[in-house]
Amino acid sequence: MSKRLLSLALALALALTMGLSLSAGAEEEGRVINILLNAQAVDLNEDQIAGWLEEKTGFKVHYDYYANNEALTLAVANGTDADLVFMSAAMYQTLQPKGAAKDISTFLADQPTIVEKIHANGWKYDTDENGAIWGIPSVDDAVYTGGTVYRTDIFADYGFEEPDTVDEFYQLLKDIKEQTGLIPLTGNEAVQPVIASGFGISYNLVYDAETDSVQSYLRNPGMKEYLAFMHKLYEEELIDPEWPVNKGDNINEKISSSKAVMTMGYHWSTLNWVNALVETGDEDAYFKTIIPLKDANGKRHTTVSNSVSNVYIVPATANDEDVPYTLAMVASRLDDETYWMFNDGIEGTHYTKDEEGIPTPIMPIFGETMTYGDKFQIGRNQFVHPYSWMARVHKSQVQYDTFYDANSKAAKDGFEGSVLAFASFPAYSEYNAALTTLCNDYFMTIIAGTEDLESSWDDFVTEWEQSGGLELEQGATEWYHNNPDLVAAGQSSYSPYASVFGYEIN
Amino acid sequence: MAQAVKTKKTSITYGLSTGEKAFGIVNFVILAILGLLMLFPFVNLIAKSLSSNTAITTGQVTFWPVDFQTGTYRFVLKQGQFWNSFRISIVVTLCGTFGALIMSCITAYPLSKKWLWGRKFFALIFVFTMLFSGGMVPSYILMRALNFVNTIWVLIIPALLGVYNMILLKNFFEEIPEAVEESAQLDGAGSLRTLFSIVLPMSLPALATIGLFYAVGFWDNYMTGLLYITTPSLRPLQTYLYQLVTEATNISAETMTAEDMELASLNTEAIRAATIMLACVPIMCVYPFLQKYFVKGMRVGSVKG
Amino acid sequence: MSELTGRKTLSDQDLRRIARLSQKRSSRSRLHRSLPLLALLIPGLVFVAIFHYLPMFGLVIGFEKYDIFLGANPIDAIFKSPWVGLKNWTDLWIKSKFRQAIINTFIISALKVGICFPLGIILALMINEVRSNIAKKTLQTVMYLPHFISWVVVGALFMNIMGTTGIVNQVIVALGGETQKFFMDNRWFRFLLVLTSEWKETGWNTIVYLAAMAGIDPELYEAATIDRANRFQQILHVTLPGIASTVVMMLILRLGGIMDAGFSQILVMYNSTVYKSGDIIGTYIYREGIGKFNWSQGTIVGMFNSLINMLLLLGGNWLSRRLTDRSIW
Repeated sequence: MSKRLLSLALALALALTMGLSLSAGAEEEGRVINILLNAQAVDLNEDQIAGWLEEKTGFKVHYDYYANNEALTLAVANGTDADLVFMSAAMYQTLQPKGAAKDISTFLADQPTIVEKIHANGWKYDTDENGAIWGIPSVDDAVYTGGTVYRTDIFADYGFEEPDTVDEFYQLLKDIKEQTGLIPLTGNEAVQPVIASGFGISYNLVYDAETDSVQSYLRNPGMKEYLAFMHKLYEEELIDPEWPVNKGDNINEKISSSKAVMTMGYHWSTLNWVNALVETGDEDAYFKTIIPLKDANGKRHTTVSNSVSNVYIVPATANDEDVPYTLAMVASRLDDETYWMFNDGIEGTHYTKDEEGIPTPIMPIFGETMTYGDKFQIGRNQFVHPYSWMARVHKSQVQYDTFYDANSKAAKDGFEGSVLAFASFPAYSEYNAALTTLCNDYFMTIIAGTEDLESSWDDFVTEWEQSGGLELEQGATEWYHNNPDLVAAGQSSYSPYASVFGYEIN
Repeated sequence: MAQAVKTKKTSITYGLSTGEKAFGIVNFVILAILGLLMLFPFVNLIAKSLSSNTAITTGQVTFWPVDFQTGTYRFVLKQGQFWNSFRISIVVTLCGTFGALIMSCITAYPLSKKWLWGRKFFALIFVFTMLFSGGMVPSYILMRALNFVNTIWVLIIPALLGVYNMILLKNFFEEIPEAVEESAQLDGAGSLRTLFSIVLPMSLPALATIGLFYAVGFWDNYMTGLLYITTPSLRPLQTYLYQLVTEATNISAETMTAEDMELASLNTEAIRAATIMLACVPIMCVYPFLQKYFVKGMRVGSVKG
Repeated sequence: MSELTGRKTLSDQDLRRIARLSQKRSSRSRLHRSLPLLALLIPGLVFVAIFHYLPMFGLVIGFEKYDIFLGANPIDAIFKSPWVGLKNWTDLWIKSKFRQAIINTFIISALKVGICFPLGIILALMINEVRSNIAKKTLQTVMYLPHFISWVVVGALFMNIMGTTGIVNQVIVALGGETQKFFMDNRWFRFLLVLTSEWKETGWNTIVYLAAMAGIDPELYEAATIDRANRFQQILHVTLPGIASTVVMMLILRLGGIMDAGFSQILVMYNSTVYKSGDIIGTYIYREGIGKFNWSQGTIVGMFNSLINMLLLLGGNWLSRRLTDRSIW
């Protein structure tokens, strides 16, 4: 017994010393800027790039992470001691009106770099009517991702062609099923964007000129047609019978093991698929993209928008004296040279540049070292980013080709921006996410045939209206009329990539 | 003593009828099949953790590794994060379990006495907390007020008394015949001494059981880490693992930028499988270690006679 | 016989009356005798006071429209938030989907208690009957393993096994049956939930029973063998009575958790086509609250769950006291 007690005591003593050494190690010397951001797959504190940045800019930064939006809200509401807090645009819309952020407009006046390097649309989004600026925005440029990718080798073998209309698409699915015996199309989207476009569906809230108001896609008669069409595809097994239960892994498996021919895909997923297919014997496997189908009026609804994806705020609890130092650090990150460095690494070591300034990564060192580089962005340098990002797109030929193919094809018929891309109003942050879930869930039951479209539609629309749908539409309409600048910004579909890649947007 | 029990048991088996022998065999076969069914996911995870990315994404891996590789384990073990979190979890589990066992013993013991003054009232005070909780917001406020947020204490102290486990223990204590303790008390032993020198040594199976429950509870608790820990070096292993698993699978496209999604596709299933395996192994080893107390507990009975 | 029992109840009543009287008289000496033990209770009481009872003041936000940013800090916000009474609850109650979720919660939970609970005992009895010590330990260890794998992983695994092209369906088709969409079929889904949770937790649930069995006096078995009781009779007359109190207690505790029908399991495994049979309170509130941070609603629903749990726990305990003279307090 005493031996056991002794070993227990020893184990505890060991545990305690380990615990103590941990808490002792947490203290750092010198002035440190604390950044609180969403959980990452790696610890940025340990990343090599953090060391480079400290050496180059002289700012010591410590990163803490919140696990989810609830943890973020609790931390902010209880007074965080972070100097900068990262949040998604949706969370920014929820927290900023509650007074979570500090107005940084006066401090920004001393940091012209920050203002100049970030796209003006972002500043419009973060500035209120009194001129107060509540955060540092990260502006997403218009890039087309997420068309329906297909196996070019199978298409070539059987002589299939890219469809343009719903009828052609239906015929294509039938031909694939009959001639190859494979699943023609797999996925799990309630609103499959390429097909939905054929019925005139784009965003869940669009401006309707006739009524001069912003309306939900539920008001679009095309929605019912789309659902009926999807249900027909499901019944005839022209789409994956597991459509409602598919998760990312299943879809990957079906595509990369040649069980399915098409799915909604992004340029970065194609690399894994091609590698897997080539390794298992499909040596010619390659992917291209089917862009959104033409609707009855011959118009494609390619949903590409500029938007603010996330915002860094200075929490309201931060000391005024600390803010200039924090912003000086932010400015150092937006400096052109530094921005290149932490996004793409060192020229010659991690990437090479061609004469137009477009980088090509040196693999595999780029993948090993620079994978998390973009996590160090605080705001996006609008002049450098379109170029530096190319290194990521160009990690493999197939990724690059899929990206180029999709964007250049889709750009020919123009992009459709969202009028609400820069929207923020109470009903939007309160209802939009939950209502989108509500709609997707309902659509899925229609597609799978668990509910009958005709008999349940009216009840569903009523439920949607009562669950905040009416407030959402009303709020959106008001916001639309009060913010013409931001509406225009969302609709502009400004894409620097067009010039980088050499395609034109109509 | 355990030895003696064992030999007695084997001597009994000699007298088994054929029907009983058949029962023994059928029983074992059924259990063996069930055991294999339950082992399947582990075999599957191990196989995945040792297979190539391609083999996994194309769904070739079920029982056996395809394109054998150990790179995933090397990758996971190379992560500073993993080791840091591992250390935190070990510290939390060791200290937590030890403290929680003491707290449970000293609480369960008085409540196990039928004659305790106000027993029902005190018992209800504890049971009530099992049913009602203030919820996330007040708890966060409390932890913040106690200065526990973002410290290792938040992982240990609020879980030092699990009422569920305490009631289990109380029930086990009640099985111990009063006479044994009374004789000790007649010898002049105080209640604390009776507890530690008479009651606890007689309750080893019970202590092993709730010790296991506590250890598993501390080890598996990822929620506290999610809510209260923001410093990565203080994050327990299961929180780290939770983020690794969910980040790669539950990406909501609406809130993610193109770069985020690109990142997610890099997180291969093999790495997840390897991390899950590595994170599970320590706690899985606890049970076999404790099993000897389940047998030794047989002594309880002999003392009783 | 009936005469006997009749007389017995009478004397029982008498006894109780006498006991009550003597109780009053001896209450002071009981207190005196209890003092050292009550001192032992203090740390536990202080603990629950701080970590359980103090935060319970936060339950008032269930009756408010709580806004965490109102006022100087979150505590101040509790005082400043407007009082709405039961509105948070009635807003939910009028929705038929929510009422369906309550029904589903009960059904799924009842199925789990009804099927998984006895199975845990049966499995423990079976393991206990294995004579070889090594085999016994190995079986125990293997069966408790699934408990450690998170539902995210288990869910994905079962989707492969029981998907439309999974092993189970291959067998069904080979036997001439029709492919079953287990994950999309309201007839199958609850069964699927019970099956998977059984698979994951039954082995784990045996631990308590095995520990209780380890505590049974071996002499009882010896006596039973001398009386020529076979193994079934031994199980029936020695093992089962030996673990009866543990079984009763576990059942009562399980009833006290009836409103937890397995949130994390269902969240991973369900999809909108099986909401009718599989959507529980937790998952409904989760979807409803996406992006909203409605702490008030979460609190009032939590209180509802707690109330039901408490009723069942009290009821179970009362029944157990009447029938078996055992109680968890």
